[in-house]
Amino acid sequence: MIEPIIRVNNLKIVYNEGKANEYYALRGESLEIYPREYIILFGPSGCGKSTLLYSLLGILAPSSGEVLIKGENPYKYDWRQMVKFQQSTVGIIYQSFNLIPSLTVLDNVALPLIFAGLSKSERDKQAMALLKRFGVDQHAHKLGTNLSGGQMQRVAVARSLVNDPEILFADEPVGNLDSISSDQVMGTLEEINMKDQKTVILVTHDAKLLPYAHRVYYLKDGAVEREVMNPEKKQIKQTDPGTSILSEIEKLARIYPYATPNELRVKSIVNFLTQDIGFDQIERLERCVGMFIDGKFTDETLVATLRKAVEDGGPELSKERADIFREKLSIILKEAREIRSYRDNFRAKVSSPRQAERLAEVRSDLVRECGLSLSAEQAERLEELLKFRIRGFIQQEDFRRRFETPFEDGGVGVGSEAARIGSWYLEKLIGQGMYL
Amino acid sequence: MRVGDALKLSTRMFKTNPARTWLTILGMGVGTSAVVMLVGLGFGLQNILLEKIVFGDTLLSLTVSNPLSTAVTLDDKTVAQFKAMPNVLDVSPLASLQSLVTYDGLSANADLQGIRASYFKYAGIAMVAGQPFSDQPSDGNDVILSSAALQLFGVDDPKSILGKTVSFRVITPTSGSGTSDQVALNGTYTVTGVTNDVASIYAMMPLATLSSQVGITSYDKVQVRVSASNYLNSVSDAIIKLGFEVSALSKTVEQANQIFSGIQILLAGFGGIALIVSAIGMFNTMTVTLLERTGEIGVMRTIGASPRDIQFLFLSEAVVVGFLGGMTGMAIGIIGGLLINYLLNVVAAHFGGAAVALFAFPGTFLAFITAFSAVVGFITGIFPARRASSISPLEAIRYK
Repeated sequence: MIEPIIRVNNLKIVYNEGKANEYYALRGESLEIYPREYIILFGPSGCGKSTLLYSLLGILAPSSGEVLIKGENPYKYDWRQMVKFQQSTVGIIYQSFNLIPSLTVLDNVALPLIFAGLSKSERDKQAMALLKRFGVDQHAHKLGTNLSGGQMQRVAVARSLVNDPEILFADEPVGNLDSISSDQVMGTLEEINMKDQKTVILVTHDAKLLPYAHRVYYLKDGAVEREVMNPEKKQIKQTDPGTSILSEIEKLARIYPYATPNELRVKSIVNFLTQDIGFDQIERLERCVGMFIDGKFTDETLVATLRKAVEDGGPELSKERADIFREKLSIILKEAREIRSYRDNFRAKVSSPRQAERLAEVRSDLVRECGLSLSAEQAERLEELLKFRIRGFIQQEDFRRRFETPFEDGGVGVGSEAARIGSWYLEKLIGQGMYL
Repeated sequence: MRVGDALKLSTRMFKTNPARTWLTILGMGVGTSAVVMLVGLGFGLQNILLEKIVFGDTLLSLTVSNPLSTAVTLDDKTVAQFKAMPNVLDVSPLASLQSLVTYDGLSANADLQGIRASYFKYAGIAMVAGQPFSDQPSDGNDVILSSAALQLFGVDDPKSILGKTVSFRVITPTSGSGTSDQVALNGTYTVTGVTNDVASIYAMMPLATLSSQVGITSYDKVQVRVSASNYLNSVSDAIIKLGFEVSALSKTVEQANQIFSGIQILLAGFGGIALIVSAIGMFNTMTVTLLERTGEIGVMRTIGASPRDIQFLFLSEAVVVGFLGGMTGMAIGIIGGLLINYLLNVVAAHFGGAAVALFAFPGTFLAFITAFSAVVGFITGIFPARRASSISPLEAIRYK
């Protein structure tokens, strides 16, 4: 059984204790982190995740409870031991990089070694090796402020590693970065965890990053709400069989990271009541539809992928269902395009007989989808109504009301159920058309 | 952390904030320059005074004169006695007679002094024209007059009298009767030099010449040259024990020096006020720097800087600024002092005065200022450095 590298026992941190503005940043946390784990402390701002991080870093003393790192309480260290702890056990990177602007990139990385008293040649060698590894060595002699955000953060990562610490802390490391730089930095951190076998503890409120972690601690209002293991990563923390069970709720938590367990339960039930496929399948289905919309799938590949078995990463639909999906998808996209063209022409004040044909096409598709049969007068009124809705003169509710209003009173005069489905379908077409 | 690295880290402000850094240094420099200039003035005045009276041999000589009582008198025997004392290098007596000096048909009363060449050095007699005696037989008929004697004869330019001849009549008191005889000295004497003394009227001739013409039984004064300054007191005490009166120029110089140290301290005090103002300005800048760097301090603390490292960085920065302030101050002070001196001399020359060096900057004083300015920097840095090192890293990181 491996010993945890970090053990937090009933950690409470209270700001302004005893004063009127007393604030409980952490309300008695307990957690264990194992060597070489990648842990994310996840939660909205003010949940206490950064407080927890800084407490682990040794610069925020607990109000009560205990922090043990490698079995020792850093808050019992004298200053010499504390410096040694910060030099050899922990490293940190910040959201705002925190490079020293007046020093060159190389000196920034070498700074921890300067404090450790290494000679210039030796520390430059080490720092340069890290800069090279993270692809920023060509900027070594520039000032830190002249780099892009992604480069600065990679320099900061190099700085945090130059002392070869066992634990790397990252406080919102990609919060200030664009998505490409963010991916690079996250890739770097993953490599540090996998290849260099460092324990990585990352604080974020960005759910996109959660798949990187072995385990995620969800924090809310100064407390760990739940701990979720990443089923896609081989766990380092050993659990006795039966102590934890990976349920649908955990899977859902990854799709809806901001939802509370109760909300997740509700989602799970509603999914069961309204849909006959699970979240897994929905996710895969979404991927297939995405590829099709982007034009990367032909009709045949779409059907084939939709039928792919669950084990092979497909949604495993039946042949009939896959065909229906494909057909409906094609129709929806076609009608969406018609609506788009109609609106474009309308706004460009182009009048052409094609405009009327487009409306008629959408009308007949709508009628078919709702399973209606309309008289010629009704069809004419529906087309008129479609024209208003597609041009944006009336709202969805107006459309639906006039769709179901009896023919004698100036409406189309279909049943209210048909009107609901019809307007629902039309809104989808319009929505698709707007974002083609 | 190595000292070289600390220096490198603590001189970053020249890159990040050159204008403010140089202004701070200039502020310290102006304060220091006030001290340098005022104390330099003190040293200059002291030098002007001492230059007039101080020669190496003079400071090491004791002037022995006859006591008021007639129990002992200075004569060849006592001179030999002095010479035999330990640590006495040389003895040079002065015999003095009342005389009438005749030059160009004019006669005047003057002391006629018989001395040896060494007396000039020991008594610190300075010449305005001509040369002192050289103890060679060739200068047997040479005579040296004081400036005061020249005025009596109505000679303005001391050089014009050189080579002219004078004659003497010596007045010797007749023992017991209260009257005196006048004896003319044989031959005429050539003026070979003029001393700078404008207060007393005298003529000097080699002692050998005088004693060959007039019987000399006693001396007026004897200059006793001791071998080193630390024997001045012991030799002086020994002579006083014999019953003679002793005075030493070194005592006078000592007193003058004491007075000037007092003046210098007073002047340094005035300059010090300016320096304190500058130091407060520098302290203020250091405090602002501290606030500005708070975030940086936090970051450094979390990547392995000890509180001492932070303290060291701030202190070395303050010392560097203080030291450079001292250097700048010395440059400003010295250049300013010399400039003022130059202007004064130009004005003085215009009105016919002699050029003087009003300012002096001894090396030890400058070395002291260098060290002192670094110390002032250090002191102004102590408080900000302490605060920087004691600030909590977390608060520092979050400080905006």
